[in-house]
Amino acid sequence: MADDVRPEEIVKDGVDQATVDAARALEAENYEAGFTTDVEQEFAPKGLNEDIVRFISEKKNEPEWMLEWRLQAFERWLTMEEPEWAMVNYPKIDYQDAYYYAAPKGQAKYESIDDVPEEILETYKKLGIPLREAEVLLGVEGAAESAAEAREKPRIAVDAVFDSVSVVTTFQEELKKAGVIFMSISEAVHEYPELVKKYLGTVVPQSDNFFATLNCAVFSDGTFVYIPKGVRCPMELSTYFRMNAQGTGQFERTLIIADEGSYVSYLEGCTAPMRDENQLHAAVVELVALDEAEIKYSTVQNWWPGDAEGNGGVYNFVTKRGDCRGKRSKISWTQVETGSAVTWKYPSCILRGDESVGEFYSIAVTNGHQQADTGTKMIHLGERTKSRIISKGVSAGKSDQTYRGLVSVGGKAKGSRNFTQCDSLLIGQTCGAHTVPYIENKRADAQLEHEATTTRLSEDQLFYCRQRGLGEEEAVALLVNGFVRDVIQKLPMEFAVEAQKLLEVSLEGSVG
Amino acid sequence: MSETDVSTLIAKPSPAEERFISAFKTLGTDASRLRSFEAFAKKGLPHRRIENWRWSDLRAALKTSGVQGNSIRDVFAEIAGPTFTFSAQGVKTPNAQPEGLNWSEELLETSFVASEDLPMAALTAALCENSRVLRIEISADQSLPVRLVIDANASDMFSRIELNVREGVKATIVESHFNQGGFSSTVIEYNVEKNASVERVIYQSANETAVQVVTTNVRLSGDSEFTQSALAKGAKLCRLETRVDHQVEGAKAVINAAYLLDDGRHVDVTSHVRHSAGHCETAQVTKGAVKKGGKGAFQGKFYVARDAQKTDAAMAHNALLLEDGAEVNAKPELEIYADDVQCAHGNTAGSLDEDALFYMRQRGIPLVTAKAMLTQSFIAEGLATISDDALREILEEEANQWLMTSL
Repeated sequence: MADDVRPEEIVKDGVDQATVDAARALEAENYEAGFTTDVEQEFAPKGLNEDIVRFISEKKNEPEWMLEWRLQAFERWLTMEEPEWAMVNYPKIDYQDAYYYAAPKGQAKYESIDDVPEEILETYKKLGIPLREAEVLLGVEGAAESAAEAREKPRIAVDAVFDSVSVVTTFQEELKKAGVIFMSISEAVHEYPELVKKYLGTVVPQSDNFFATLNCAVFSDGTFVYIPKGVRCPMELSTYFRMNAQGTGQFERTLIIADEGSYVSYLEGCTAPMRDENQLHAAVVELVALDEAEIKYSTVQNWWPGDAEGNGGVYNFVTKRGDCRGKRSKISWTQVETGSAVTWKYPSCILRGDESVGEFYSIAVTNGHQQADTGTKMIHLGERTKSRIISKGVSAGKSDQTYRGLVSVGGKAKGSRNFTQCDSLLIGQTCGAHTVPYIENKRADAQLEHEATTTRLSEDQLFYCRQRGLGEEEAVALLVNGFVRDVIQKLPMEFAVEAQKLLEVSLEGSVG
Repeated sequence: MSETDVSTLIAKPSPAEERFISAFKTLGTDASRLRSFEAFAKKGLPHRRIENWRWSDLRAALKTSGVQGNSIRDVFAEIAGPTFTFSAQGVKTPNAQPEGLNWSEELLETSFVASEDLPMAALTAALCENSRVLRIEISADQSLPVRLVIDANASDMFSRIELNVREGVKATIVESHFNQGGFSSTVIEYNVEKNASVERVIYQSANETAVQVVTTNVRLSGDSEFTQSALAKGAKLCRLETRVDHQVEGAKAVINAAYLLDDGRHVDVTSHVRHSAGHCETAQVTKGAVKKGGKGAFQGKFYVARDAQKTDAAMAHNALLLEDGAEVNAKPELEIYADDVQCAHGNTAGSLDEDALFYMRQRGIPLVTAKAMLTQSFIAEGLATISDDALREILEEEANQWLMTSL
């Protein structure tokens, strides 16, 4: 990207090319990440019972306390009922008809990148996730760039999770020098049991909800991050989740702790192969920000949404919550949701520390037969806490989308402030856009504002674009990009490009 | 069905539910009552775990039985017009009968009361004594407002009213909903025919042990107009629920409200507007002011069906928390399936604008007066669409009185 190009042109040019490319592809081929990887895998026996929980724990060679914790959760899960309040419809899930553990054969974690099976490395390469640090450092393999140039490149440390296990974590050594712990949660259970014990389940308790409790019992892998006091994490951290095996649920668990005065930016990406059946993804993400710490958590969710007839696709039932435990701490969620057949997801912030700040920026795009019920919760408990919610929903095709959010101000949250804006855009006459905001206020000195609009693409703007020579799909993509711009701007650079590309592909076929 | 069967419809009935079961038994075994009671019994008395009642726990509010308090002052007492009074004694109908105003004890268009979504409407249909069932027909323009007074005492009281406003007719309906300390549930059905125009003005006031539910269903035909404005003072628990269905193109609805809550008072303003046909309009403004210990709730929903293109609907709820310890909960909801529509909602909850207060003070207005002026104009927006000056002034004056003693 040349420096002398104005940002508007980049957007427009990017849109042009991608839209033209996408138009060439057939409907089902739009999903670039839909391939499967042929690698020998081992599974837990199908179904879910106490033995499976023990099996997973044993596979991970977990200490007794971890197994106890899982079993406790499993026992509780048996007494719970699947929630039905969300505006989504899907056939009843048979929890006994899935594998709860799938891992590439061999050891759970490879000693070095060279031990990772070539098929898996290939998978991530195809997805644009370089796992070889050298490639990341140099940008392109074999390019003879100088070390100085290489240092200026943005670098990202990656934890790659393939079905139920973390296969490789890059840049661990370098991060260690800064005192940052970045590893899979299975490793952390062994290496830093005290930290895990202290924080696991403190933000999303075992009993939180049906899917979170299920995750507590059978979670397979995920990422553990600890940023020590006063450290600004020297690079972006990211986890890339890949579902590969057929009939497998993915239940990852992420725990990020930012100690006093630290900062971390964390990216999360997810894809899955195209399959006719529905796959379950029930993750739990817990963030803890202590005094004056800041966590920026960005997600680009691109699970397989199902085909044009609504067959297959991922059920994405995720519990994400951040706890601003310390004074003046800040947690910011940014999400671009384009995938999944059914999404049920409400990344939230508990603003416990005085003057803590929570933010939620979201773009959700649904097309085809997708259904998404997503939003956030901002729980103001501390004094002078602030939150901001910007949600942009785009519905097309036969999809339905719901923004569901809660802003709650407790009796002690003196002088709290919230601003919420949720805008919905409908493309076509067969989709739906819904808004369900909950506002609960117990403070006279709190200021809560909520605005929502629902519109379709402006005929005038479309007409203007078209008479300037843009095709209909290009014009739609351009206008949608403008509609979601507020949120795109909040994404880290590396993700913003990917997100824009995804938006174009997701809206493919939505016009006409 | 035998008596024992009715008793088993509700598992582990609360004392209030037991009261309803025995009341049902004394009313006989009419098939439609039984259907309604079964619909109610499916979930029993709504409580905070029922999504639509999360901020109005009726089950908890009815744990204690009613206590008789003083009678309630009717701000509309001086308003002339044919008056129907619903009380423990039954219905008192007007002495004189203006032209185009008829009434009867037979209901005609009853359809929604057995719905499980509306447990209190179902309960009312099951338990309303025949002496408090009334159908009012308005077939010619009325020069005076038609008044409905629902005045409950400490015992349970159920009332059912059907109001049919015939084609092209204009009418103003003034409703007073009072409760001296017991439990009352009222179901009102408005059928507004083609080109008809209805202005509905509501005043609600109750003693602090009262539990009051008013459920209204409004059906709008083509090019009809329905304007509703309510002033509510709350009760121990008070729910004013309005459901509006735009059935034919060209209908217009305004559903406004203002609520003023003292310590120990609760009000829940709930509405559900369904746009089944295109080219209809809905405008909704709800304003609230709440003191310490008061609890306000607003639940608004616009549903726009797939075919309801060119719908224009706007919803606003703004609440002032006058003191710490006040509580306001809101859920302004949109469910939209048509793409060529204009739908918006806004919600605010907080205190008076500091800048406006500062400006007024530096112009020499004392703080208390400045607050009163700002709050008055804030609340008045919820009552501004009342076209009858006398009625609007009465409610504005009532609101001002409350503000004077509250600020």
